[in-house]
Amino acid sequence: MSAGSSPLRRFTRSRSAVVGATGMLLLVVLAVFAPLIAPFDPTAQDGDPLLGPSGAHLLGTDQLGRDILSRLIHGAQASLIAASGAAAVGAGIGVPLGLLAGYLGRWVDAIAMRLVDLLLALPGILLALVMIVVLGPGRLNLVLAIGIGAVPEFARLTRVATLAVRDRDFVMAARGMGASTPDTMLRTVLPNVLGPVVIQVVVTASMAVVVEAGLAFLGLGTPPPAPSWGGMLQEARSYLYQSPTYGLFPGLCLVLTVFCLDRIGRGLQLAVSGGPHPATRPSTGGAV
Amino acid sequence: MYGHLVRRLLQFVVVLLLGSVAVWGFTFALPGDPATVLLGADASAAELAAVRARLGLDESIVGQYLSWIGHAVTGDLGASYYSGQPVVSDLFDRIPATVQLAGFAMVLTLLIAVPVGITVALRPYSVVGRVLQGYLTAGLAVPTFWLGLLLIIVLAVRLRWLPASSDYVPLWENPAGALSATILPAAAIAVHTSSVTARFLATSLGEVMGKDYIRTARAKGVPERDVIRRHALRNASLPTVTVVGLQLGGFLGGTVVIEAVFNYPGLGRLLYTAIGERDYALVQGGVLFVVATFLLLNLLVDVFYAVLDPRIRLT
Repeated sequence: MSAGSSPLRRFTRSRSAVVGATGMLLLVVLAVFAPLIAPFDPTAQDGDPLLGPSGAHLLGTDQLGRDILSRLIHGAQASLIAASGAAAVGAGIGVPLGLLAGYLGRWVDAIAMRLVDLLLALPGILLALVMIVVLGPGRLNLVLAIGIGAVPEFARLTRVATLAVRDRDFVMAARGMGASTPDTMLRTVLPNVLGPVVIQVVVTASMAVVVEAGLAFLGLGTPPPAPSWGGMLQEARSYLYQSPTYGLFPGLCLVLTVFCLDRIGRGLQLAVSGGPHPATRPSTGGAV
Repeated sequence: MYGHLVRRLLQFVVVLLLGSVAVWGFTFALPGDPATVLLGADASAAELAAVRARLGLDESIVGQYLSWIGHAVTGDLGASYYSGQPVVSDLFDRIPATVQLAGFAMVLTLLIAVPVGITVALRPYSVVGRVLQGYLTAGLAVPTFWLGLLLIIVLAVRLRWLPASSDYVPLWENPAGALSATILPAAAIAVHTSSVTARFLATSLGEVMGKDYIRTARAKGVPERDVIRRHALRNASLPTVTVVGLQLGGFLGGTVVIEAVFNYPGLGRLLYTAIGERDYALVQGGVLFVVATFLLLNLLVDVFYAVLDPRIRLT
């Protein structure tokens, strides 16, 4: 490893990571400036229904004559909100849980880990489905429902990382100098376990994109008429015979988003682990 | 080893109990009283009270749980609020379909993942290796339900080779029919899960190939085929077993969306419909079944693991 290889340098040196980061940046710009970029109003029914791609409507129109391209651009918002929100919820609950379990050990650990085992036992999409019915529809509840499913992974990897540093000399030193338990956990242990957490944030984001789309496909995602890629796929499913291209584009958007996040995740892995070690641990989620 | 297994078994029981409380509890958090749902908004108070008494909703909370769990352990999960049928028989109607889909998907997953994982680990820079790495990246990025839609568009709508919606055809009654009805949803699932599994296998195989005992085996003249099969693959397969176990558990309750895409009458669809109809008893029973099966599979994987790898028994 060369002298000046900081994590950021290692990240930017990985070509696929840069490709992924650029793609995500582009997507964020599209989502934020959607009203300025989209050629049409995403909810305006101003074309003939189910047109194929043409000069006026580059990707065609849906069953109500709405411009598919404009709906895709606006739909990026739903995916990105779900992705960032679910990652925040998952990390926000899972990291403290794992930190407490790993650092305090004993009964705290036992209780926290049984809770984690329980959450893991319910497949993500089913958990989210039940949560949405309990909480009711809406964007915030959607984020909560998906995020809760991401808690176990955050808790587990934070716990493992905490266990690995708990008895190291620098933690002992902090305690020896009189730092309280909460202070040691937050200031000394937490910064040293964040590496795997950052990677998990990206993995969770890509899981959330797929689960949000799956829920929208079942009619339980982002409430209409706001466009979402999963919701568009649900509509496209009813018109497979009339307009086969309709179902193509929302899925491609999903694929590109997940692809970019996957590349970023791999880049981060290189950056954190400090070398081209291919020890990737792909998420098991996503098979909805 | 027995200490480890006993502890693991205790954990299983604790989590299952915890799960039963949670499953039973969160249907209480659902909006809407089941009696109101059943009778409609304009039912009289007397009618509502009668239905509540019939469903046991007038007992104390603890009493309701105890009677529910008491019946559950004897295989009685109550009656569906909607169809009036026993929940267990509703579940058992769908379980064969779900097991068949899960089985097909798992077989396809392993058929793809094992050769792909081995090739990617051993020949990462060959042409084939690079193509397969592309497959892994794509397989992870493509959502299963969209792939399902694409398969329907191409194979069912355009080419008319296979049916667009998949009914459940029992394998032992009509193997060819079962294959053609189940192959599309199974393939849509397997592309994703095989990519996950193959990545795991490739990673651990890659790590194992650098170990000293592989060099020793080569040095003493073991043919490369046997080095890979006997020394490397056996050691590398351990983490993969865990993943496969988790995936199989996920197949049993987690294929809700794929079942919706293909109109496949599995457990996921049943639960999704039950949630929509606020059929509390069915949701409770179904989710409990899914959780219990998942935990049991996990337990079996851990036991299997301990049998395969003596070092696990010490921890």
